[in-house]
Amino acid sequence: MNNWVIQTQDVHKGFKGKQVLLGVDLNVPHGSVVGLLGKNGAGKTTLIKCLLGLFRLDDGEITLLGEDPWTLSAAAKERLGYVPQEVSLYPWMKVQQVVAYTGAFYPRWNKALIERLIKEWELDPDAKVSPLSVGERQKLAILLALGHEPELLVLDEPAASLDPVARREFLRAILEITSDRARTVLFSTHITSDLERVADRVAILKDGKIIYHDELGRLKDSVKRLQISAASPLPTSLNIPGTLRCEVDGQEALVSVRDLNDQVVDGIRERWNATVQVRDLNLEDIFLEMHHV
Amino acid sequence: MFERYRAAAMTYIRPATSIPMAALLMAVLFPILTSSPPYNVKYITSIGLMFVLLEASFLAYHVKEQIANYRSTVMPRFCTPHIVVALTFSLVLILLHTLLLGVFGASILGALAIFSMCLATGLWVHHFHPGVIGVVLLVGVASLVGTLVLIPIVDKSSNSYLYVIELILSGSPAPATTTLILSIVVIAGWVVRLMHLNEEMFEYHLKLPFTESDQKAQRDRIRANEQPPGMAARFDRLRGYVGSGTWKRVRHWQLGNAPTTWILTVLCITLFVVYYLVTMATGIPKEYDGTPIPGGFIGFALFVFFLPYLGALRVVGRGCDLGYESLRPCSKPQLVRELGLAAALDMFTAWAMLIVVWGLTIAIWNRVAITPLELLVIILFSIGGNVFLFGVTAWLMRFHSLTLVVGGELAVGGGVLTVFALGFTLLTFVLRRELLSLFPAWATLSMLLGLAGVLLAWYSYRKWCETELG
Amino acid sequence: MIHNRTSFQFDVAPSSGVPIYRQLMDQVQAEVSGGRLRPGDLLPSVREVARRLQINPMTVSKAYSKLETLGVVELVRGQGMRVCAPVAWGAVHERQTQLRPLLEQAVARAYQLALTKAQVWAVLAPLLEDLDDE
Repeated sequence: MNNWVIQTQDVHKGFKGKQVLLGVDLNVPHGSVVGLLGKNGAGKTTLIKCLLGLFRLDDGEITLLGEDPWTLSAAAKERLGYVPQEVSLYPWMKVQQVVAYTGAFYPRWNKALIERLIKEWELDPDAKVSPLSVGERQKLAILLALGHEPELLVLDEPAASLDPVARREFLRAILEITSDRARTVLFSTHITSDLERVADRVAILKDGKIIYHDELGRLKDSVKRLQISAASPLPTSLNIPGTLRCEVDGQEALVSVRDLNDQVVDGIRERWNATVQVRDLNLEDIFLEMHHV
Repeated sequence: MFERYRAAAMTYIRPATSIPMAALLMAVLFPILTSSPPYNVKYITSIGLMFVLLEASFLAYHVKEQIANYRSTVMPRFCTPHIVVALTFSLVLILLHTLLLGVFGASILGALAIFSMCLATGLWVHHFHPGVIGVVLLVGVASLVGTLVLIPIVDKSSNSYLYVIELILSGSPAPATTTLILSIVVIAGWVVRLMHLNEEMFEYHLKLPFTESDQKAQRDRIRANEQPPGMAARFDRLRGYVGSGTWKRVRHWQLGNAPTTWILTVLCITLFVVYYLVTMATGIPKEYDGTPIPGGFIGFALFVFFLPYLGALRVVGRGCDLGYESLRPCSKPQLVRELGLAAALDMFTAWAMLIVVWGLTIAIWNRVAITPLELLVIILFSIGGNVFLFGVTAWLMRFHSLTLVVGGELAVGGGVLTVFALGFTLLTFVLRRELLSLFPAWATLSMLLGLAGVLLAWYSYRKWCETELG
Repeated sequence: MIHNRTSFQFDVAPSSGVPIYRQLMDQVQAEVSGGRLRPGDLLPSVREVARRLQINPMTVSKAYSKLETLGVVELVRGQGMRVCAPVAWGAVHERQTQLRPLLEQAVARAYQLALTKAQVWAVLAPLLEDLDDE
C-alpha cells in the first residue's frame, strides 16, 4: 500500500488575480499527525480546500487517498473526515437529528463512539443547533467527522473557538483515534501550543509555499537562537548559514539559525573569538523567527 | 454639523440601495408613459401607492441597517442625521407623487394624505416579523404588476377603489386631514422606534440578504423556523445507513434542505388569501364587458411563479455549506443530481399545495365555475412555467449570489411569466367561448417552457459538476 | 531477574523549546544517573505515557528508541523498555569528545561569571561524586 495519504506536487492556486498558493509540495505519510501552520491569510484554508477537491488547481497535482481529489469517489469519501473552519450545520435541526442525518450517509457509523463523545463533550442531544455557540457548533462538527472513523481526518482550525477545557478534550480525542497509528490527521492552526502536544510533524506555509515540513522534534532540535558575545565589535552581517534573523549590537549579537550544528558554533567561536550560547526555541518562537521581516 | 448630514446621505450610494431607489424614483413618470390622455387618476394613484410603499421600504431598510449597528450606540449624535436624511428623502418622494397627481387634477390634500399613509406603512415594514415583511412586499409587488397589467386593459372608470381610499382621495377635508395626521403620528412613532433601536429589539437583527454577511444572517434566521409536524418523526425513523437507492437518497438530502415545503405552504396560503382579499377589496376588475373574471385565477397566476424564488432562497442558504456536504460519500455528479432532485421535489410539493389552496379559494369565493379544460390549462401552464423557472434558478445559483438569484427570479418569474400568465388569462376569459381553440396555444407554450426548463436544468447540472463547491 | 514496572512518572512541558522526546530522554537519563531508576526497572508503556501526558505516542516511541540506541534502555519482548546496566560503548576518547561541548559551554559561562578555577571545581566536584572511580 502507498505510504503517502496525501501527495501534492507544485500546487498553484489563485483567485481573481491574487495568487495564494505558489507551488506547494507536501507529502503526508500514513499514520502521522501533521500540523499545518501559517499566518492569517497564508492560504491554509485554500490549501486544504485544494487537497479535498473543493477548489480546482490552477497547476500542479494532488493525490488524496490514491485519487485525484477533484473527482473523488464515494468510496474514498467514506474514508475521509473533514471539519471546515465555519459551518452552519442545519440550524433548524436538533443535535441528535444532525447526528442521525449525517450518520445515515455512511455505511459504517460508530454510533456508540458518538454517543459517548456527546456525553463527554457535554453537548445536549435535544438542543437545537442554531442557538449553539460557535465553539459548541465546532465541537459538533468535529464529532460528526469522527463518526465514520475516517482514515484521514482533515481539520481547518478546529480548535480556534474552543475554550481550554474543550480544546484539551478535542486533543485527547485526536490522540485517541490516532493511537493505533492507522489514521492520519492533518490540521491547520495558528495556535502553536495545540500543535506541540499532538502533532508529530509540522508544515509551515508561508508566501504560498511550504517552507518547512518535518518532524516537530527535529524542528526544535535544528532551529536555535545563538547569543554571541565577541571580544571585538562584530560586523553588521555575520554570514552565518541558515540565518533566519540577525541582530548585531556592538560586540553582542543574537542570531536565529535554521540548521544548527556544531561546525556552525565552532566556526563562530573561532572567527570572532566569541562565546556562543545556544538557546532553545519553542514552536511559537520558531514560527515568529521564520516570519521575521 | 453639515458634514454629518452629508456623510449620512453618502451612505445611500451603494448598489443595493441606490439602484432600486433610482429605478423607483424614475418610475414616478411611469403612469404618464404607459397611458394616454385622458389620464386615469385612479391608475396613476394606484401605481403611485405601490411605488411609495416599495421606495419607503427601501429607505427604511437602509436607514435601519445604518442604525442597527454598534456604531449608533458608540458614536455621539449618530442617529439624528440618518433619520433626518431619510425623512427628507421621504418628503421629496411623496411631494413628487402628489404634485404629479395634482397636475392631473387630483386633490392635493387627498393625494398627500394617501401617499403619507403608504409611506408610513413602508417605513414600518422592517420592524415586523420577516413573514409580515414578505407578505407586505410581495402584495406590493403583485398589486403593482396587477395594476400595471389590468387597469390599462380593463378599467376605464367602472371599478371603484375601496371606499376609504376613494374617500381620502376625493380630498374631503375631514378624512384627508385625519389620515394625514394619523400618518404623521405613525411616522413619528417610527422615528422614536429608530432612536431607541437596540440589540434587544428583534428587528435589530433582521437583515435583507444583500451582502455576504447579510446572507449569513439570512441563513441564521432560519433558526426561527420551527420544524414542521412530521419532520421529527422522519428523523426518528432514520435507522443507520440510508442505502444507495436514488429515491431514498433524494428523500434523505431533502431532509437536509431547510424545511422549505412547510414555510412555502404557510407563506403561499397567507399570501394568496391576503392577496385575494386585497384584490377583492381594492377593486382589481372582476369582470370585463359583463364576463366575470375569477379573481382567484388572477391571484394564482401572480403567485405560482414566486415558488421557485422562495425555494431558491432556502437552497442558496444551503449553498454556503455545499463544500462541506460535497464530501459526504457520493461522487460529485451524484451529489448535484440528488440535491437538484431534492430541491425540485420541494418546489413541486409547494406547487401542488398551492393548487389545492387555489382550488379551495375558488370553491369558496368565486362566482364562476371553472371548466375542466380551464383547469387543465392552469395546471399545464403552471407546471411548464415552474419547470422553466427551476432551470433558470439552477443556472443562476451557480453564481453564488443571492441577489442575482432573487433578481433573476423576480425578473423571469415575477415579471415575464406572471405578466404572460395574466395577459393570457385575461385573453382566455375575455374570449371565453373560444377557449377550445386557444387550448393548443396554451399547451404548446407550456410544453416549450417545460422543455426549455429541462434543457436549462441539464446544462446547469453539467456546469455544476465543474463548479468549485468551496 | 524480577522486573519492576516502576511508578516512574514523566512530566513534560510541550511548549518548551526542548522537544518533548528530548525532555523524556533527559528525564530517564537523570533518573538513571541519580539512581532512582535501577537496572532492570521497566519504563511505563508508550501508550500509557502518551495517554497520561496527552501527547502523541510517536513522540514517546521516538524518545524510547533513541534511549535504546544510546544503550540506556533495552526492549524486552512482551514486557517493554527495561533500564540497562551502564555499559561503556565506543572508545574512551570518543565519549570524551561527546562530553566536551557541554563542558566548553560551562567553562565559557564560568568565565563570564568571573569564577576562578577553584571556584568552578568546587561546584563540579560534588556532582562527580556519583561517578565510579576506576
